[in-house]
Order: sequence, then C-alpha cells, then structure tokens
Amino acid sequence: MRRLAALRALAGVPGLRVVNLGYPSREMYHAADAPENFYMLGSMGLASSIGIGVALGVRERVVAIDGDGSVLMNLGTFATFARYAPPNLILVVLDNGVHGSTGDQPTATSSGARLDRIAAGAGVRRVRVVRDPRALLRAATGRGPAVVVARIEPGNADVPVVPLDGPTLRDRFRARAASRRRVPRPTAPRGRSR
Amino acid sequence: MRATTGLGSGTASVTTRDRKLARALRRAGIDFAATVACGIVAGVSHALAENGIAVIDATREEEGVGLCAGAALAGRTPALLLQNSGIGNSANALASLTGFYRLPLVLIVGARGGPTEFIAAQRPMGRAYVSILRALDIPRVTVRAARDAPVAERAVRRARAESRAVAVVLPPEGE
Repeated sequence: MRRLAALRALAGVPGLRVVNLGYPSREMYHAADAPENFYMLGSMGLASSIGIGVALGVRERVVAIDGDGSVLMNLGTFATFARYAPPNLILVVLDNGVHGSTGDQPTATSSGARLDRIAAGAGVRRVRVVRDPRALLRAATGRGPAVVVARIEPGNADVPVVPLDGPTLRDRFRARAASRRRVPRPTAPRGRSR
Repeated sequence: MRATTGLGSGTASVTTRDRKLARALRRAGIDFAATVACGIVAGVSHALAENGIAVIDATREEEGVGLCAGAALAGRTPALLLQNSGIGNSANALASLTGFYRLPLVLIVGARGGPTEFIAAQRPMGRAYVSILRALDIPRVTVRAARDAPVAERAVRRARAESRAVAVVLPPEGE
C-alpha cells in the first residue's frame, strides 16, 4: 500500500486527526483536507504526543498518524501511551522503512527494528500490524487505545506543501475540537503506584 | 512549613511556596499539566494534583511539550513542569510547535546550576537555558518565595491572552 492510500483510508475514520510533518501532511491536505486534521509542519517526533494530549481533552476518536523515522525519535511515547491509555486514541505508525520526506534514507525498521514489539514491550495491550487499506481502516475504527503499525511502500505523491499558517491551522482544529471537549479531571496512571 | 505527600508516584516535600503557586496556577486557568521529574518542581506537581489538576508524567521534556500542545489544541491551558536542563531537550518543539502555532504554555522551570548548586554538571545548562529562552522569545519571571505567587498568576494570564509560552522560574528555596 502507498502512503496516499493509507491516508485516504484514515480520512474515512470519524473523529480528529493529527498528521505527521512532511509528505504525510502534504498528501493528507491534498487528498482529504478537513478542519478535523491538525497538520504538523515542524516538531518531528511529536505526532503521538500531540495525539495523546488531544485525546485526553476530548471525547471523540483521535487518530494520530506518525511515521517510523519520526516515532523512532520519541520511543518513550509508547510507554506514555500505555500508561495513560486514552480509550479514544488510535496511534497509527506508517512504516515504510525510510525517512521519506528527506530522500529515503533507511530507518532502523529497515534493518529489523519492530515497532509493534517495541509498543507491546512498552506495555501497549492492543497492537495491530496491517498491510492494506481495508485492514487499516478496520483497525483504526476498532477499539482503542491501540497502536496500529501499517506497512507501506516508500514513495511520495507529487503534491505541494500545506499553504496554511500555524494560527490558522490551530484555530480551525480547535474550533472543531471545542464542541467535543470533556470536563478536565485528574488523570491517574494505570497500574501499581511506585 | 513542609509536609510530605505520597500522592501520585514518588514522594516530595510540599512547601508553602508550592501550595501557593499551585493555587495561583489553577486560579489563573491552568487545567492540564505534564512533568519530567525534577526535585525543585516535584512539590508543585503534588500540589497541583491536590488541587485536582491532572499531571501527566512525560519521559522527556520534548514529549511534554507535545502533550501540552495537544491539550492546548483541545482547548486547555497547559503547564509543563521541568528542570532547566529540559529547556535544551525541548528547544525545537518550543519553537516549531508551541511558537509556530502560537499555543498557550506555562513552563514551570526548576532552576538548577545556581549559586547553591552541588553538582558541577548542572552549571553549564544552568547558564545556557536563559539564553535559549531569550532566543525563543519566551518571557521569564521568577517565583522565589510564596509571596511571589501572584507573579505566576499574571504569567498564566499572559500565556492565555497572548497565546504564547511563558516561563516561571523556581530557584531552590532559600537561594
């Protein structure tokens, strides 16, 4: 599956989306722009963290769309994901084995690093590996919290950069999220206290 | 006045400064917090939890900036409690996420590396973080004692009104 096909499938999941920087945001903007999409234009590595922060503050489903190179910069995120486990959050890692936005330099998943096992080892209970858009859509609409590793082919669609500025992207996403806020409450980590 | 609490994970001394600061933060609108462990801010973290505010443990300060950005996108006013060395760990996220999207964020910064520092390795970042904050255009105020808590309240209001990051620096008490 190409990244564009994966993103088109994820655009069909009702809810809010956090989209990783570089070509994932460019392709999503091109294929299925919506105010429910928060496009990252910087801060590589933080798609999952932004997704956790949003998911803890809203009721509806949040799909955070990360990449293998990006999530390898922030592996602690799997531990945080497992610990706070927002039930409305699906973390999708589009794994093409390369840094696709900077010239296809190989990442560690191309030489054997298994993100599904890293997530499971960090304590994530629901981990799926998918290889086609239909299975991806099913996993992303299924029960959360879940980590979904989607194996995709390298390669980018020929689409321009997202033309919107930061505050514009913030405002339209926040307005969409505002109607779905939940009342703040103390959040305790799962499991035993130390 | 000191008391020890076992709320959440770990134990910490909660001082009057911690309690007054936590109440000021809540009063000014903080309703979400993340932290990376630091001895100076640990008491504030406990005091926030006592005030009913969620405190999420991040594994690294940069991750904490991401969590807080998500919370802000969901309409909350977040605080990140960290040691000043963590300003270095999170500089890119503070610039290209919090700054670029103009999101509110209150950094509660434990100031290691000052005159009473007992670990020499804390001193280089203890000097550098001030320049990093300045380079990132993040204004900085200091809360030395409990009576300075209103300074933090104003800082939160500024973060909300101007939709930006502000830093509230906490030196070790008595320094």
